[in-house]
Amino acid sequence: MIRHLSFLLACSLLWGCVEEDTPTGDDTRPYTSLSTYGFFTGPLADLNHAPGVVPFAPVSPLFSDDTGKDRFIVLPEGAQITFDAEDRWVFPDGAIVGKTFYYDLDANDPSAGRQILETRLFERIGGEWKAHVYVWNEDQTDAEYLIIGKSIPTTRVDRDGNTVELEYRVPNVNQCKSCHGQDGDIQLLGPRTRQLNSMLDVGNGPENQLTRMEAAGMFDASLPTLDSLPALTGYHDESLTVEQRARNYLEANCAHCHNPGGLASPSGLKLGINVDNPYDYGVCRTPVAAGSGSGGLFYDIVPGAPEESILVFRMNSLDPDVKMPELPTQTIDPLGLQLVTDWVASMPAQSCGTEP
Amino acid sequence: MIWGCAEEENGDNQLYPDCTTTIAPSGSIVDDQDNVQTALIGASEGDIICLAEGTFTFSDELSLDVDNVEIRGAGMELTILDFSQQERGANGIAVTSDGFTASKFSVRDTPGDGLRVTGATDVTFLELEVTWADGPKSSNGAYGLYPVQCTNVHIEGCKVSYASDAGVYVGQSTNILVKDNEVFGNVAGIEVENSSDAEVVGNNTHDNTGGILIFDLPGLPVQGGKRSKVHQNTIVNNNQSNFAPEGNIVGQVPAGTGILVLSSDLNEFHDNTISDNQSVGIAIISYFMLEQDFDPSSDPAYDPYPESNYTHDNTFSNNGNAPKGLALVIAASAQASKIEPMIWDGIVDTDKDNSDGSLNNCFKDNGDATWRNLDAGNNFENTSTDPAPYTCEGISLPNITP
Repeated sequence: MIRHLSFLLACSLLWGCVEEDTPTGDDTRPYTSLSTYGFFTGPLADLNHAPGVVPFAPVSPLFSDDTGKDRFIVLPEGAQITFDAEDRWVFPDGAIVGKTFYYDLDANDPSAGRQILETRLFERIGGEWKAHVYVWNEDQTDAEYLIIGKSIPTTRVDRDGNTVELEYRVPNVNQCKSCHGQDGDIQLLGPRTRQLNSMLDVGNGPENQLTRMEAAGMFDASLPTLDSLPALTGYHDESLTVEQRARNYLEANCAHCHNPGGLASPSGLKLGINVDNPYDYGVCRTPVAAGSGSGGLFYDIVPGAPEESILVFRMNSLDPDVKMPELPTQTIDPLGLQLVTDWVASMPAQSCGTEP
Repeated sequence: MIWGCAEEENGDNQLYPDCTTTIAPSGSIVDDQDNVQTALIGASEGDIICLAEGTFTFSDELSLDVDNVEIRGAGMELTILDFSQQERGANGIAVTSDGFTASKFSVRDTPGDGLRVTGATDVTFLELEVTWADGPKSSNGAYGLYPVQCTNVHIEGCKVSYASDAGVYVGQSTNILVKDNEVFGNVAGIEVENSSDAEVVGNNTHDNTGGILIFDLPGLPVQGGKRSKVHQNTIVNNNQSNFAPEGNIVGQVPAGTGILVLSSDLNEFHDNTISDNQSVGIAIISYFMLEQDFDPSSDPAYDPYPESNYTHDNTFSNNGNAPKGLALVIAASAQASKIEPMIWDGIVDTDKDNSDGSLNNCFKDNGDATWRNLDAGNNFENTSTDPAPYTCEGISLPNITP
């Protein structure tokens, strides 16, 4: 009994025998090194996609502390995606979806170069997504598998010319579920119809992404006509109304938790773009468990009064027990905050009731 | 990983014979965070992860998503998890897996909630402490122990203090046992919210703002909380001033509240010792008492009226002698400076058929404790202290096996 126990103790110190999928070198996935996958040709830091590595970009992206992102899908030979207009696409086993995060060292000068931070992969195994996180080395020659997360100091010049310093946080693999968790499973957020029914130039001029992917044979059936399919509009688009932009922003940055199957389901606050009942998306809604997050305010949204609205208050905070979103960002998104503030301000003023 | 100092007699390096791994405090916040989080990520189903005696410090939320894992310390006074330097994450510990057990350690000074378990089946908390070192402060985290949307919840032998909302909070869950815990110095000692089939028994709830709250709130995915059996609790001296951050519903609980029932139905309160709560012993009220302008059509699934609650065989003494907040408003409505230990707001849903009286909130055999129907729906006009119409028997609930 004691000998068996010692084996278990010793075993738990070594990567090889703790988890069946822990990297044991570079012959089993997940590989220790990102380069082993062969996603890129040439120097890894150039992020040149190899053939079969299909780029994509959601039209309404996550803020993610203003990082630049490079995203791709790789399907195994002969395998295809089952398309769905409204819901999640079904990917075949062996599919990998990847996202590399980086900062441009100077947002106004691409020649200043980049600091590449991490690459996150989802690999489809046995009908489920498994998360792998790779942290790039300082030399930017490769990235190494890491489950525990890491802090990376960053310095850059932003669009306004300000020098910004941030201790960037690479998540640990448990934290993936805090955004990607839905009804107990992991789901992708970017590769879905409403995000990719949009134009992107991958080098051949602007093309609809769904059309391009269909032409590459990635789907197992012909797609319906594009204008019959849902499409988000990018919240950066200044030709849209403030309501359209704000609701696109909330759909893309909040609704994966704030929906009936997401991690914020207990709150009852639903921030998806198709939510019709204003009470459901926060109008005159009293929060249940906000704690300090209430900021001394009483309702999630007070129409016409962003300064009295908890939604705005929480988006404008960096306190760990106040800030929204809870975990994935460490800075406030000035654009998102502005859009939601303007949207609430634009609502016809309405009293939510006498404060207690 | 570093081995802890184990008991000498069993001759191995584990804290207990059945530990899969034992982690000792490293003295470094970076290493403690890495050691414990790595163990939680790398755990296999059935593992018992033991935390040795001493103080661990953490900078981030600890998360667990592997089923059937136990985290066990050396004792709530011996294994301390110090979150006072936490920079990221809204909880100290966040669990999303089934079959989770936590026992014998202390969680201290989390900026947010102490230990949250979301959407899990079979959750067990035994002999845990959750507290904040500065005493009752609005800046403390909201909840100490926080199972939400769970099934089969067992909380026993725990000690929770100074939470700025509820010390022990069970939300939107079913089949719950909250037994033999000590909760003090919280705004709400124990709160059962939008949950069904709970047993709250043998708890020592003292010096909170409100001792035990049984709430049903609108706008939540799980509605119609009911059937809490609240018995043999000591609910004493819950006169802590309310330090909840403004804007939270719990901020309206008047200091000096023994038991508060909000909109919930079919609960049973019996054989409790309820004393020295200066606002009220037990108050059964509808949501309209806290939100006068509440529009029921905003949540058609919600029933704001508390119905069919049964309060019997409790021992009340010295309650309601110096009412505060909402309780003071109630006292004033009766032109009194004190209020009766048992209160019902008298607001009924006239759309429902109560010809058989089954919706009545019944009060029976509570010694010589007095009672009042506020008639709050009629501006307190027909407020009455005649208990006869509501001296009836109600539901008898079974014990819970989580």
